[in-house]
Amino acid sequence: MTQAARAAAEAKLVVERLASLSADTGMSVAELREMWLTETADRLERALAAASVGDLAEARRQVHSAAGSTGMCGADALATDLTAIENMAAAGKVDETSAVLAQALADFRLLTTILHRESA
Amino acid sequence: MKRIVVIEDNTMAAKLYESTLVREGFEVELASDGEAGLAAIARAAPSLVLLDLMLPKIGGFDVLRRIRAMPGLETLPVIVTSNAYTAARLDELRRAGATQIVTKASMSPKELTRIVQHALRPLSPS
Repeated sequence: MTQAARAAAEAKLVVERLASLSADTGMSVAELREMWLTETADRLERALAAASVGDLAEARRQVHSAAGSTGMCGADALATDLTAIENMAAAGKVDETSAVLAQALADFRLLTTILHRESA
Repeated sequence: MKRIVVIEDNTMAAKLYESTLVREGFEVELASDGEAGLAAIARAAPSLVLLDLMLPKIGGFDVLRRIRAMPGLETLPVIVTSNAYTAARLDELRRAGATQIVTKASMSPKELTRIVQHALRPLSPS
C-alpha cells in the first residue's frame, strides 16, 4: 500500500471515530479533529527536536502522549508506529528514533491534509 | 454531585474525559501534571481519580504512591490510564494500589462511564 493510500484509509477511520466520539461527548467533530491535529503536530515536532539533540526521554514522553490520543481518534496504524517509536526511544536508539519520527511526522501531515480537504 | 480529578497532560484525552463525565453528572477538575494533580486531590476531596502514567513533573506511578500515603485516601478509587503496559508494570501498579488499570486508546466514552460508575458503586455488606 502506498503512503497516500494508507493515509486515505486512515482518514476514513478517523472520520468515523470522531463522529462516534462527538455523539458520545457532545463535542463537535471539528472541535475534536482540530484539538487532536494541533496537539499531535506540536508533540511530534517537540519529539523530533528532542531526539535531534539526544534527549530521548523527552522524545519518548511526547510520542507516548501523541500515540494515546491518536489511538483514541481511530488512527490505529499511526498509533502503532508511534508506539514502536516510543519503544525505540526507550531502548536508547537515537539515530533510528529520529529517522522514524521524521517519517511519522510526514505521515501525520499527509493525514492532516486529507482530513482538512474532506472537511472543507 | 460527585467530584472526579482527571490527571492527564494530553489535552484531547482530558477534554474527552471531562465532556463524558460532566454529561453523566460528575463535577470534573482537570490537572495537566502530577504536581497539579496532587494539589487538586488535596483541595477537591474527590470521589475518584483518573490518572495517566506518563506525566510531567511527577509521574503517574509516584502520584499513585503519594495518594496511597495520604491519610484517608487508602481506598480512594484511582483508575490508571495509559497506552502500553508490561506485565511487570501491571504488577507494580496493582501493588501500589491502582483500583483499575485501563488502556487509554481502546476506552470509549461509554466504557469510561461504565468503569467510573462501577468503581463508585456502593459496596454491598459482606
